Amino acid sequence: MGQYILKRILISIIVVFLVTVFVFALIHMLPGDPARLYLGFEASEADVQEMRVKMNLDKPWHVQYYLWMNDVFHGDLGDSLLYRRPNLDIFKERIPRTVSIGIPALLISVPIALIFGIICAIKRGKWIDNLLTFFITLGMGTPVFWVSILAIYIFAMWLKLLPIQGYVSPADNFNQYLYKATLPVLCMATHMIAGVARNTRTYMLETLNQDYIRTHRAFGISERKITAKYALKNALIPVVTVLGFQVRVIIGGSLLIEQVFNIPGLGTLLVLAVNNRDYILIQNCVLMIASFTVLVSLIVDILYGYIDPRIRLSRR
Amino acid sequence: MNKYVAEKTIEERKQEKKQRSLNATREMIRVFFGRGLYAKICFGIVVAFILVAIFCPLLTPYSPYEQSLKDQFQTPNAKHWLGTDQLGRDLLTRLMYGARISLVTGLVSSLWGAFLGVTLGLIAGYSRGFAQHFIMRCVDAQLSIPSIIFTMILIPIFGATILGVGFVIGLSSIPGYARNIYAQVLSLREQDYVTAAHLVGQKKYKILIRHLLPNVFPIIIISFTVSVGAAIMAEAGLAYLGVGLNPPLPAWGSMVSEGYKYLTIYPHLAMYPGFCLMLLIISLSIVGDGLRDALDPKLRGKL
Repeated sequence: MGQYILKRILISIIVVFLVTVFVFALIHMLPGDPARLYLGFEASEADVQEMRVKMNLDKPWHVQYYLWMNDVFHGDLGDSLLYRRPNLDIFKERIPRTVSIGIPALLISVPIALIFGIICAIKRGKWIDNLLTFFITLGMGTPVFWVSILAIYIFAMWLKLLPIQGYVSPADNFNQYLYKATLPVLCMATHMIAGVARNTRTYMLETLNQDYIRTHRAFGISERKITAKYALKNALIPVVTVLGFQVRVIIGGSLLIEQVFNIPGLGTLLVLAVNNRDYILIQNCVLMIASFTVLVSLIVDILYGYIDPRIRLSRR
Repeated sequence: MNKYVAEKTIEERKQEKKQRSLNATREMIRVFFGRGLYAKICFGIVVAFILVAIFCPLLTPYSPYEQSLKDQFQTPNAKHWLGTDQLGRDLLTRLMYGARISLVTGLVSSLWGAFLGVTLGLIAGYSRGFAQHFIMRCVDAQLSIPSIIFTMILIPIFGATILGVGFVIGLSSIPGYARNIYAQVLSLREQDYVTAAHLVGQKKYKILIRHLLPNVFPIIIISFTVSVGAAIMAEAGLAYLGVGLNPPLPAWGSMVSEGYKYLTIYPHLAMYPGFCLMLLIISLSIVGDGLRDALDPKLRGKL
């Protein structure tokens, strides 16, 4: 187990290193000049040149990469060109908002998705499987921004149950938060239920076709006991990796959902930064998000190896 | 002595082979259309969208760009079947041209993504050592950046045109292809026929192209149908955010985004493009499911 964990950690470090190289290369391929952007279009050429020196843009790229990494390891994520403030402060302000939508969505969607997937697999081919599979297909094929707009149209404009847009932090006013965050959380959850349920169904069906399940049936063990005691445990192992993947889905979905519901979170920040070419913010924000997803998949991998010894032995 | 063994002429054998492949094709078509009414309707919808996308200039007398402010916000009527938008442009015309944009970006990006992803997956799966690990770690690295963020950053580099956006979405679909192909090749390379080809001294690239590529072909086709839908969805998301194809191009995503502003008074502006998007993506995914079952029954429910 120790060796397995060590190897996983090493691989994660390599992946994060590759991410830094990717992000660095991407940002440096972007058209435009950060120094000119920072000073505005009226600034003189000499000032811009001075700024370029100050921002280390005149140095060769490997030196720039080293300086960036040096800053990151010292906890300095640079200043935003757009907000003229340290990026770290902006992130600290924005992350809780995205999390306050993402975590409830995760908590709602996972149990529902698991139940849907298991019901579909057990009742394969029956009307309930067909119905749920239909909804899963519907959920998979509907862009998340379109789900949100439909939800706004139905629940906010037509039934007038919930507000159209806006956000209140749960720390400030919990009731208002519940009132305003319900729709975005539900939209995010619908988006996630479909994917997880589909995977759960597949894994469960695969498990139910295994020889040992047939043996249990031959022994006359009741179908209920087979599913609850033997099949479920084995089917849920691969689902763990799917759950790890949901972090990416949440972050990707937050870009669209926050835009529709006008929530000032990390997603809207990134869209704003890309539209305004806030290079330093994009660079560090993407690095932060990517490192986080790598960390989550590391944890999932270790968990996976812990639950299923076959994995940690085969991947040595 | 050979009295009882019917000698087959070359001609007969050819005939038999032809018949067999014809039977296989028939069986494939039977499975593909044998999934009930549901799948047939979806196939019809996809075909309809493709036909509309090809022939849209012939189907409508209007241009998708021509504005006429006196015709703003018309509700459906005899002249404009689905009404007009905030700039007086015919909504149905814009929807038709939007189908063209969606399908072209979906197709371009999937072809390009499939080419790169399959190549990388084949190389990573077949070569041992550095190349294998390097490619797969790069794929992991790309996968750790959510694809919408990845594409959003790349679009300014390649330009917010249909080709540029298709190219970038294609890049973002590499990990999916590469991982599927990689896993498949990893198990295929242990097969006896690969070892045999190796032993008779065939070159590595020849083994890759002659023996491994045909065997992963069903997976390529299936990943392809999945990725066309995903690419259309990605393109719409980017257009919605305003970082992809920009107005006045009639991309469905930006039409939804513009219509959203008028949702309270003129909901049809956002509703029609949104429903088109949903209809096309869902139909594509159901057609993809049918294709998967028809091509390779073993894969049912796996990809």
